[in-house]
Amino acid sequence: MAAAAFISLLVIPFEKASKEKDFFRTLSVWISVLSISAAFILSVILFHQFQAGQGHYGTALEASLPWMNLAGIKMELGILLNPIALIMLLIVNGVAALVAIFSARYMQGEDGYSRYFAALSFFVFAMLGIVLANNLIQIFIFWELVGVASYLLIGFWFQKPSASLASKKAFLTTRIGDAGMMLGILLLFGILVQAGTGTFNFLELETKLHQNALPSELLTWACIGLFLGAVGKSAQVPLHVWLPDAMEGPTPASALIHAATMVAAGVYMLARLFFLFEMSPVALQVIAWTGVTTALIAATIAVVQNDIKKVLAYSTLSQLGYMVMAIGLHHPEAGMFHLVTHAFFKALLFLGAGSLIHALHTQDIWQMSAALSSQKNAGFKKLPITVITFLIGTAALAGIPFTSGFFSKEEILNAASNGPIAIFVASLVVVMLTAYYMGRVLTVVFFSSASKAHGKHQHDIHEDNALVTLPLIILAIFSIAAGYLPFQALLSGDSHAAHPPLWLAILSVSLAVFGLLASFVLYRNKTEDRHAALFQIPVKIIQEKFYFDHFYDWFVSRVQGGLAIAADFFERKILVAFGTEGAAKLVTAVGSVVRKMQNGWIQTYGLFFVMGWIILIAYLIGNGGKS
Amino acid sequence: MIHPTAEHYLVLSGILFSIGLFGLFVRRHILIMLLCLELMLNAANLALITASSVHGQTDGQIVSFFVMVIAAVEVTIGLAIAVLLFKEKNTVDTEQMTSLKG
Repeated sequence: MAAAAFISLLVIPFEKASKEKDFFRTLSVWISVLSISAAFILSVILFHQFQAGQGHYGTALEASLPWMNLAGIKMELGILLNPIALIMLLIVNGVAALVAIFSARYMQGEDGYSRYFAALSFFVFAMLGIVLANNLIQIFIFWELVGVASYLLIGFWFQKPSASLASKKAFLTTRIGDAGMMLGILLLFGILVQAGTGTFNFLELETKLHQNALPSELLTWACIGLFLGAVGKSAQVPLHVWLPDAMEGPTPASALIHAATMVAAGVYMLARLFFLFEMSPVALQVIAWTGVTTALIAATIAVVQNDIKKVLAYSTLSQLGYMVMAIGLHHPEAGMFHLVTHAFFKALLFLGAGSLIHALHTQDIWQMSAALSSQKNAGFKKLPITVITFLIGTAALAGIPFTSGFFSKEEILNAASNGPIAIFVASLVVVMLTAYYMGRVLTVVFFSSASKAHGKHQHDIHEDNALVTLPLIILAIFSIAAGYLPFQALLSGDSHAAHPPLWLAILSVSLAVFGLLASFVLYRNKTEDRHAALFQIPVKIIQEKFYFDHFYDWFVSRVQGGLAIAADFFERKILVAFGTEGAAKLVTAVGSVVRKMQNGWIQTYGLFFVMGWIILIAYLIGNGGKS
Repeated sequence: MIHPTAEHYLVLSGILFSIGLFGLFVRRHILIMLLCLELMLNAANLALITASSVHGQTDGQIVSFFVMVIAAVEVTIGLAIAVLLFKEKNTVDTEQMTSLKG
């Protein structure tokens, strides 16, 4: 069943309407939307069958074809369905279907409309490959394909230099992590070969890990290698720099790829391979600390951003940090739960932002504010659905009670409260910061009456048609409802999982409310940013994004550049000068001497001949005629 | 009257050979050089026949017949080459023939 979804999507990337005629444009949209929707329906059916057929949730369903059989290395192409994969399947197909519908309207009139849908479908195909993969090689292949799809979508407006640079940056940065992942996979395989026979298959891997005592130090390194892949793809510190830049892509693509699904691939991989990471406490600690660092740094940076998509991008980073942290703290189910709810409300926020950008023609929150404040309460009157769904998304992100974000965040905070105290405190700070920066965006855009000095947008502001609003409404419903899923039961089959304590809920909610109120007080009716006036030096550091990009620039230009110069010197002046060119020069030099003898005069040749004979005879006589 | 001995013949052969070699090296005329080659071959023949009569064996004389045959062939080919070269280069001077110069 899932295989059918898989194959139907395999066809789409090859759909390429080279002639941008209307017929082909419409066709490409229909192919894309229908096949993704079909995949979604199929995955719902699959979910039901799985539930009914298995009766309990912990079991897995596997089907695979042999691909290659090298000496001792069996590679296969297969699918492995377990509860985590099923949930992820629903999320990916569901959000992708809504985003495709939204894009059908949002991207209308763009050059390369068909190209966009081809890339989107290609992305969904690759993402499903990751979700369903039953072995490490396959997951790695689709991991790379997802990277390519992301590259294509970020660089969709490749005519813009910033977009093409951003796509390059995203691709190269994630490749650093992918190199680590490759090393991790190979190291793991090597360890298993040492202990008996190697395998890439997840299920076999799990049984092997439980059977054999493996060298823990090497295993830790393998785990960290695999985690590096997740660091790249899920944009954790220090490889997070690509995600904010990736916002150069079309907003619906950002919603799907850089908020809901692709960046969750790293988290998903960690959860799917948790049995492996479980074996190495050190690796788990690394994961937890990386996650919490990312959450904190990204939340801080989000506070000072003025581009609505950048705020959401940093918020995504921060929430991904949460998920990774929860997995590092032995609570993969909490991480996955947050992944699910986050997928809905972040996709909602991004699509809402897209709707705002579409209506107001700017991404800057101050200009949005100016555009909206030209008429009193224009936001609510003119864009009711966008504003209300955006509010719901914000509430879910901030963790306001009775939204999905509240429940999943509680799970994560519960995990953190059992971890080191520093992690717990940091995650509470992030709760407050999250509420604060989202409150800041809301207050500035919707609740401020900025002066009309900026207000040059006097065009008619209106809500777009149902293709835009319907996905928003559906996502808003899910942003609330997803929290009521019996998630623990879905994942582990244990319906009596402990609920987070009440004091934790009260603490986190009061922090969130404090953050919202603070932003409201600070930004009500303001026309410019107030951070710089309040805290000068810290804001400068934060505005420069903690100098990560500066450091990388410096690193690339100085350290790597220096290495390149040294390597260049070594190659040119030593390898080439003494090696290849040196040898050539030696031959030339010898040749130029020897060539003098070849003067073309037959007498000279004869003379050499005779002299050679004389020397030979003299030698023979000297040897007494012997030899 | 001095009765010539084997040594005389060998010395004469050496002298003829040296004259041939010397001529080969110093003369630039291609026909003269071919003649010098002939001279050297006949010097070798003389040495062979002398050795043959000293040892009382016919081997040397037989070999000298071979040498004569080869010399005839060599002259034929050599002269043919000389004619062709003259046609090609319009000269018989070897100093002008340096197309093999490296």
